[in-house]
Amino acid sequence: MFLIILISFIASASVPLFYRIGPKFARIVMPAVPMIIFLYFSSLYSGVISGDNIRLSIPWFTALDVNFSFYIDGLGLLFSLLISGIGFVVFLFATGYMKGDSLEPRFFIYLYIFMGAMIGVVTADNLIVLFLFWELTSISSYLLIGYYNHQEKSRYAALQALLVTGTGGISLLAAFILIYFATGSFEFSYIKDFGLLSENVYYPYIAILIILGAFTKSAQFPFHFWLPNAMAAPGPVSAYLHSATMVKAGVFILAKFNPLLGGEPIWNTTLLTVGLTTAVISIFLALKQTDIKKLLAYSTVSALGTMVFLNGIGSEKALLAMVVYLIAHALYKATLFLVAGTIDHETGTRNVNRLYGLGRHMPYTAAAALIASFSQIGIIPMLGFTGKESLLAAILTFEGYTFLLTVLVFFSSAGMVYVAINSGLKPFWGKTAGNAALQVHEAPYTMWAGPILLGLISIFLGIYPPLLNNLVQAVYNGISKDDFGIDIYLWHGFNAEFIIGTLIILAGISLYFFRERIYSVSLPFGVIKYIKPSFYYDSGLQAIISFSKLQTRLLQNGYLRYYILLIISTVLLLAGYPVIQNFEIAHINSATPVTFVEVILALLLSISVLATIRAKSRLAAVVSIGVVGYSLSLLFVVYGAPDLAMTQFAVETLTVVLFVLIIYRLPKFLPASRISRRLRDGLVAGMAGVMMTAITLMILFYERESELKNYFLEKSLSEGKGKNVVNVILVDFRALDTIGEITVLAIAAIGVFALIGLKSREKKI
Amino acid sequence: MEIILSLLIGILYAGGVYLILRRSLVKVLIGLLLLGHAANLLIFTLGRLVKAKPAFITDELSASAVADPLPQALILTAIVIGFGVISFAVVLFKRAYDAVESDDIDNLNTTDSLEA
Repeated sequence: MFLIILISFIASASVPLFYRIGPKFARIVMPAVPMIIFLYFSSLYSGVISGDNIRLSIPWFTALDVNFSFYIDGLGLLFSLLISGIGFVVFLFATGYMKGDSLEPRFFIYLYIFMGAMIGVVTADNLIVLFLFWELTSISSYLLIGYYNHQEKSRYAALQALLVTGTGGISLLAAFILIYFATGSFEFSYIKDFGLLSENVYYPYIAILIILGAFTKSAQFPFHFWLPNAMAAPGPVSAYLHSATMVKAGVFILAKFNPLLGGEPIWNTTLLTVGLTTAVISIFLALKQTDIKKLLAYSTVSALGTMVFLNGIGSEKALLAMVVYLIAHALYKATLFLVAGTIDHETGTRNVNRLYGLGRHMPYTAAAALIASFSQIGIIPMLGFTGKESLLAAILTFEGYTFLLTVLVFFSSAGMVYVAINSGLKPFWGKTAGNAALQVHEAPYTMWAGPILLGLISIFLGIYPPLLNNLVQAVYNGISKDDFGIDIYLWHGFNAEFIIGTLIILAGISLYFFRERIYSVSLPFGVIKYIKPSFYYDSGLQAIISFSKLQTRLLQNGYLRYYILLIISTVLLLAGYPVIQNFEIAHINSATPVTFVEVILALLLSISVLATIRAKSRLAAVVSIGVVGYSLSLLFVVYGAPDLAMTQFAVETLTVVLFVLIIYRLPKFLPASRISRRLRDGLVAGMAGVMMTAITLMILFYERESELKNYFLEKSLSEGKGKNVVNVILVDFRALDTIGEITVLAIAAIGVFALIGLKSREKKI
Repeated sequence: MEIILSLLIGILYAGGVYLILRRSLVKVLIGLLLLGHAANLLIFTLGRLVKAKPAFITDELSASAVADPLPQALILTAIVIGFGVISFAVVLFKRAYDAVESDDIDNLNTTDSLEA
C-alpha cells in the first residue's frame, strides 16, 4: 500500500525517462499508472465495505507523533477510487490533448505529483502527513494552473490559487496542532475515538480553522474567486483538479471531521449558510458567462456549495445526499470539462455563442457530452437524477426555513440545468453551414473514450445502485455518528421530489431560452467592484507589496554604514536594557593591584585609539593602530601570556607593513563627514563601548574557577607531552581547530595571491 | 586593574564601531582591526588575570598561580585568523580601489554603471 501511494511520485520522476524511450511509448505507459492505482483500491472494496478498514504506519518522527501512517475507510476509498479512476481518464485524455506541446513531459510530471499528493491527502491518517500532502496539492495546482507560463493571466491565476489555498493550508495546520493539544495525538484513527470535541476549550478555534482550510480549498464564498480564474490551466487540469478532485478536498476534510466537530451551531450553521450562499451566488454569476470553461467553473463552485451545506444540515438524508451528489458531480463534471477541453482544442474557441453544430463532426465527443449534461440536468436514469432526488429529499425533511431553502436550492439547481444545456448540449446542436472557419474533426479516441466511459458509469450506477449502496454506506458510517441503513434506489415514485425535480428542469430550460435577455442585463459594475472578494484580494496583495518595498527601502538601503548602525542599535536596545536592569557596581574580589607600567600601557592604548580615529592621513592611522596592537601585546606580557604577546607582535608588524605597502600611495582621506553624522555615530559608538564595559564588569563580578584550566594543566605533560600548556592545547587537544585555522590562512593567502596575480596579468595586456 | 581593562575594552569597542560607520573603506578596515583587538582583550580579561605566571608546567606547579591557558589558546587562534581576514580584506580593497578609483563605500554601490 505504501508503494501505491509512492508510485505516482516514482512515475513523476520517470516521466523524462519515458520520453527518452519515445513519446509514443510514454503516452501508452502514462495512463497505466492511475489504472494500477485504481485496480489496487478496487481490490480493497470488499474489505472496506464490510467494515474492515486498513491501517498502515511507518515511524517517522515518533517523538513528535508524526508518522507515515495511512488509513483507508469508506470515505478514503471513495475518494481514492475517484482520484485514480478519473485520473486514468484524464491522463488518457491528456496524452491526446497535450500531444506535441513543447513542454509535454513537464505537464505529466506535475500531474503525477498532483495525483500522488491527492491520494496522500485522502488516505493519510496522520494529520501532519495529511497537511504535507495537502500543501503538495496546492503547489502542484500552482504549477499546473501556471502551465502556460508565458501568459500573464495564467501566472496571476496560479499565484492567486496558491495564496488562497495556501492560507487555508496554514489554518489547517493550526487546527491540527490544536487538535493535538486537545487529544494528544496526530493519528486520526486514534483521535476519532474521542468522539465529539465540543466540550474542549479549543473547540471553536479548531472548528473555525478547519472550516477556513476547507473553504479556501473548495472555493467557498468569499474565497470562490480563485477557481474561475484557475481556468487558465490546460483542459485536463481543469477537469481533474478544479472539478473532480482537488476542490473536493475541502468537502473531504469537512466530511472527515464531521464526527469530531459536527452537531454544534458554529459548525453546522456556518457550513449551511456559507454553502448555500456559495451555491446561489456562483450560479448567479454563471448565468452571464459565455466562456464555456468559466461557465462550468461557476457551476462547480455552486455544486461544491451544495455539498458543503448538505454537510451543514448534517441529517442522515443530507449526508447521504452529499455523498451521492459528490460522486455524480465528479463523474459528469469531469466529462464536461474534458469535452470543453476537446472543443477548445479542436475549434480554438471557448465562447459558447460561437459554438454550434459540432455534433455532426465529433459524434463521440457529442455522445459523451450528452450523457454528462443529462446527468447534470438530472434526467432519469442518470446518477445525477439520484443525486438531485436525494438532495431534495434532504431539503424537504429539514426542519426550519424549509421554504426558503427549497426556493434557493430550486434556483441553483435550475441554474445547473441551464449551465448543462449551454455547455454540454448547445455546442453540438444545429448545423455548421456557412461557418467555414469551423472545419473541425473528431478528436483522437484517447480524448473521447474516457468521457464516454465516465458517462456509462454514471448510467450504470444510476440503474444498478447496489454497488454504490455498499460504498456509500461505508462512507456514511465513517462520517456520521448515527447508524443508518442506506438504501439507494432509482425510482421513488411520483413524490414531491420528483415533481420539484421536473419543475427545476423546466425552469432551467426556460432560463436557457431567455439567455439573450440575461446577457443584456447589465450589473452596476461600479458597486460590484467593492463587493467582489477578489477586489480585496488584489488590494491586499498590493498593500503587502508596498509595505515590503517600504521596509526594504528603510532597512536595506544599500549603504553599509546604515546596516551596521541598525544592527548595533538593535543590539544596544536588546542587550542594553537587561544590562541596565541588572547592573551592579562590581565588587571585584581579589582584584589585581594596579602598577605603574600597566597604567602607562592603558593610557598609551587609549591615546592611540583616539589618534587612530582622529588621524588625517592613512599613514598616521596605520601607525597609531600599530601602537594599539603593540601596547596590547605588552599587556599580554604582563599577564602571563608570552605566546600571545609574541604572536600579536608578529601579526601587528605584518599588518602594519601590509597596510603601508598597499595604501601609502593613496591620496588623503575624504573630507570628514558632517558634524551631525559624526556626533550620531560617536553617540552610538560610545554607547556600544559603555555597554561592553558594563558587561565585562558584570561578568567579572562572578567568581570563576575553571575546571578546564586544571584539566589542561594536569594532562598537558602526561597526554600532550609538552610543558607549554597553551601550545599543547593548540597542537594537541584542539588540533583539529588549528588545522581549520591553517586552512583559513591558506585560503586567504591563495585569495591574496590570486588578487595580486590578477593585477599583474592585466598590466601585461 | 580589571576596571581599567574593562574601560579599555569599552574604548576599543567604541573606536571600532565608530570607524566602521565611516564612509572611507580604509577606516572601515582599521575599525575591523580595532574590534578584533577589543574582542581579544575581552576574552583575555574574562579568563581572569594572573600576573606574570605563564602556563608552563614546572616542578612546583600550583593551579591557582598560573594563567588560564584556554583563553590564551583561543585568542591565539583569533589573532591569526584575524590577520588572515585583514590581509585578504586589504588586498581586496586595493583591487576595488584600482577598479573604482575611490575608497568611498557609496561609490562601490554603482560599480555596474561605472564599467563601460
